[in-house]
Amino acid sequence: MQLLLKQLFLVTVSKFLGIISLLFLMNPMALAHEFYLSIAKIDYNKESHTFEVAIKLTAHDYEAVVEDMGFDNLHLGESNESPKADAILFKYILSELSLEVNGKGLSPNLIGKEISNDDELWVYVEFPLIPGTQIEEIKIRNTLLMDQFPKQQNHNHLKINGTSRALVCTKQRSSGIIYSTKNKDD
Amino acid sequence: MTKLLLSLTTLMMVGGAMAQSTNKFKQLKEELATPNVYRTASGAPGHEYYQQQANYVMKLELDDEKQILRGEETVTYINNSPDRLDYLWLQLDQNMRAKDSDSKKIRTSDINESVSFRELKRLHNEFDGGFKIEYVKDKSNKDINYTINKTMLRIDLQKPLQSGQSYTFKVKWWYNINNRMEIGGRSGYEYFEDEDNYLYTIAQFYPRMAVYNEVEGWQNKQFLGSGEFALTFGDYDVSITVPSDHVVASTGVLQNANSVLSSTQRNRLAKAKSETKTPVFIVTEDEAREAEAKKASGKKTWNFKAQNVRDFGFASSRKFIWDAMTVKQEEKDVLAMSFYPKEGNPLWERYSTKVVAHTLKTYSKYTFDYPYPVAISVHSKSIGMEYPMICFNGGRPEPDGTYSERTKYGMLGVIIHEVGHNYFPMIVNSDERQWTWMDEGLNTFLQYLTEQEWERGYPSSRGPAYKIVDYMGGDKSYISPIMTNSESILQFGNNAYGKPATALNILRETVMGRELFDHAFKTYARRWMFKHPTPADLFRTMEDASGVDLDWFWRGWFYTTDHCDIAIDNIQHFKINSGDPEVEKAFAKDQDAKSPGKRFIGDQRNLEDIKETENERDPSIDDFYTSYDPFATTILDQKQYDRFLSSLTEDEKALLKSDYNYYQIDLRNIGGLVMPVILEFTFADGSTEVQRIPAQIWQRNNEEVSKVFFFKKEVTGVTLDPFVETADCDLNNNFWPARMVPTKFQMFKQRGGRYGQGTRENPMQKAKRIEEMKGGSK
Repeated sequence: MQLLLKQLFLVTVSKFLGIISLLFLMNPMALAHEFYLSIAKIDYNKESHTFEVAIKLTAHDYEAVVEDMGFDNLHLGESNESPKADAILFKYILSELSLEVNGKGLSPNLIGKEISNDDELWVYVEFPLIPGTQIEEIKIRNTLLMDQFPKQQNHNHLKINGTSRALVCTKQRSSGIIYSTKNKDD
Repeated sequence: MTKLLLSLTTLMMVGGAMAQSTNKFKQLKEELATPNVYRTASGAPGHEYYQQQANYVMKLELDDEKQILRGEETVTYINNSPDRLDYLWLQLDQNMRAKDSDSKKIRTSDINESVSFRELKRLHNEFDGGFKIEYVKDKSNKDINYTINKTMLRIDLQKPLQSGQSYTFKVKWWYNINNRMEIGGRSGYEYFEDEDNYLYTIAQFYPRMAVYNEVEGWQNKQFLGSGEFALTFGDYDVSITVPSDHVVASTGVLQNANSVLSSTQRNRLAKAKSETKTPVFIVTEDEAREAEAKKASGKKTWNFKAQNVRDFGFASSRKFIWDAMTVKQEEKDVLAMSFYPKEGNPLWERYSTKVVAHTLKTYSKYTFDYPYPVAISVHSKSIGMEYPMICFNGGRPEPDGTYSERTKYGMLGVIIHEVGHNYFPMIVNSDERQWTWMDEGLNTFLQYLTEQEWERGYPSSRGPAYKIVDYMGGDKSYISPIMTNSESILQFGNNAYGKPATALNILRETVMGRELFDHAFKTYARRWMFKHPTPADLFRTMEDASGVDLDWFWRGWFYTTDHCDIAIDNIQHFKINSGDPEVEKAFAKDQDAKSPGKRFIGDQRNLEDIKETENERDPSIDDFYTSYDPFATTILDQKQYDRFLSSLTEDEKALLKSDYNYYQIDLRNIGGLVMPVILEFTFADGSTEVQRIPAQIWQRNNEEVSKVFFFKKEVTGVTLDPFVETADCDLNNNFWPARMVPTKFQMFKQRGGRYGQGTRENPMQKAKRIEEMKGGSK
């Protein structure tokens, strides 16, 4: 799978390169579509020791990302959907979303995706826990759509053992600890 | 009064307690501006309400070779305010695209190891945008002093403009039209490379008067990109010179059809004026294809006039197909029209004009009859943007002419939305620069109603209460109240479109009811038609016209980020103690037998293991207590019962025998937003009953309330918010007995969804393939 098909590769010359981008000059439109928000609903299933994740993305924003990767229209959810579409989507999800328990990254299983007629792209992924782990700390990194949309906010809603935790990932803070047993008494 | 004893039969769930802070029903006296002669406490324009007027005469020329628009405008500004004006402010929106614009400077960006050509192209864009002002003169052609502050231009008047006076001045300008597909924009051009043609959608194209009123003074907040426009009403006379083979769609009514349209086209247009069902083509696809294949060298000038509009927009291309039909109204008929390139077909010829007509009919029902003579939908890829009488809408099929359901509904939705903007803010002219939600929220609400009237089960993305819960239940540090200035809003789409639309929908369905709401909403629209309303005018009118105190609702939904999460904390079941010892002692015995202690495992094993106890071996150790039955009825019990009965009136006796079930339900407000409580009770016989309790149940205690319900039948289940109408963000605490709502993930897995399922067909294409197979088997 050639993911970076039409991409250019840049070499970092200087970290202090000051660049003003015209990328988002276009911005809002009165079109009813400016969301820049994704939601990852993460439910810990204690029977199967698995984090079950449902991610809601704005479909046309993801399509813009795919286009930026250098792919032509993948026709998501249509009859002529590219056979590569799922692989590209999941590769993208895996590179932009990660879950760590007690400092160790979990490897995900890909469950599937679906697209609604009102422009929601749902992606389903599960992260099985390494057997025998006592969950002390859960860390999430979620940079979905951020490269293209600097205003993107990724909201992570975790439900574990009857409690709820939330973490919002932004360009400025793309990862964080969503759950910890260490400061339980605070 | 005789007190009845209730026996507690079951106790379910235990909840905690919360402390009470400021009351959520506090009136909005501090938040809303003090009523005055301009705006009344009832939310109507006051007896001294005024607004300014700006009339424009413009001569424009579109340069198709260099993609430049040149214009000369004569503006007549009428000062209807009681104030003397020393200077005037105009808006220079194109300057947002100037090389040194603040919009560019304040936009953040970064760069990674890999970057696409498109991204890099945008980065390297050296587009020389913004207005080039050639002169500003008064009507006797004398230069006027002016100052440009980025996207605003101040004209310094030599003599102050007194109340009631008017002032005429001229501006000559030009600007480079932006390539919308490369650098974006609400207006600009799309270039069709294979045929070397341009499609122009032109707006914010002329220096326009800012609004002056008693609310903001001059509304001269800079245009940064998000906060849209605040504009003065006026009359327009606009002449647009374009290549002679271009077709122009514009705000206003075409004045010189004889010189720009062929006689065939004029006849077709006349036919469209009596056609109300099927759009009539004024320019067919074949004719448009012919025009785009060759380029004419001459020029034509199209003249349009528009009355009482706040802005002006137009579109021009030789690629345009043009169709039209009439929408009948009580007083004035409207011509619904669409202009689109062949790339929009088959979607556009099938739907656009019909959707325009449907939008006008539905919006008018909830507001006022559409007052303008035309309503136009122009196809411009990827965006949706509104202007008076005309809007630019996306929704493009695949090159092979097929399209997905998502593309179809995306297109229908955007046309409804942008045509709907004619009502808010083009006619009910709120200040978009200040409050995005006042037009976007109200418009999105009506868009939802219109979509649902288009087709049952229309997949509306915004409007229903349950659609907003992911947003409202999210992390509060990333949510701002609806009452936030347009440029400072976090999560624009949800904040200014989704949440206010949902709030209005909840008012209509749950809080006020459709009848009271529709009357009040229509009152607001009619009061502020062709005027400049503020949020307070909406809030006050909705209450004044309906007789419903909604301060709590505005406070919670518009001034805070509270969300709705009401929980069933505790349910207790009681039955009336009949006092009859025969009944009650038997009941007590039964309850005692069911108590957990009676099932102790040791007792059960001892029944078998201990063959004989000491007192069974030696009955002499038994005494009174050994055989005493506390649940046996005695003559004393019976006498007491008789005395009790004789003390009761007939009514009280009837109640005693009624055998009702009483349920005390304890509710907790976890989310903070006070909302009505809707409970559905399911009974042992399978029947159900719904009880609707107004939000005022929370009036004295915003955090915890209890209420008793009684039924003949025994309740087997309770559901809070059974019709998902309150935007309750956590449904897991809405059921008794407790029930977990399956997650989206679990539902997907249960349906058998999995990775790599392969391609899916939309039904349209599946049908096509079936037809092909049939054809092949013959």
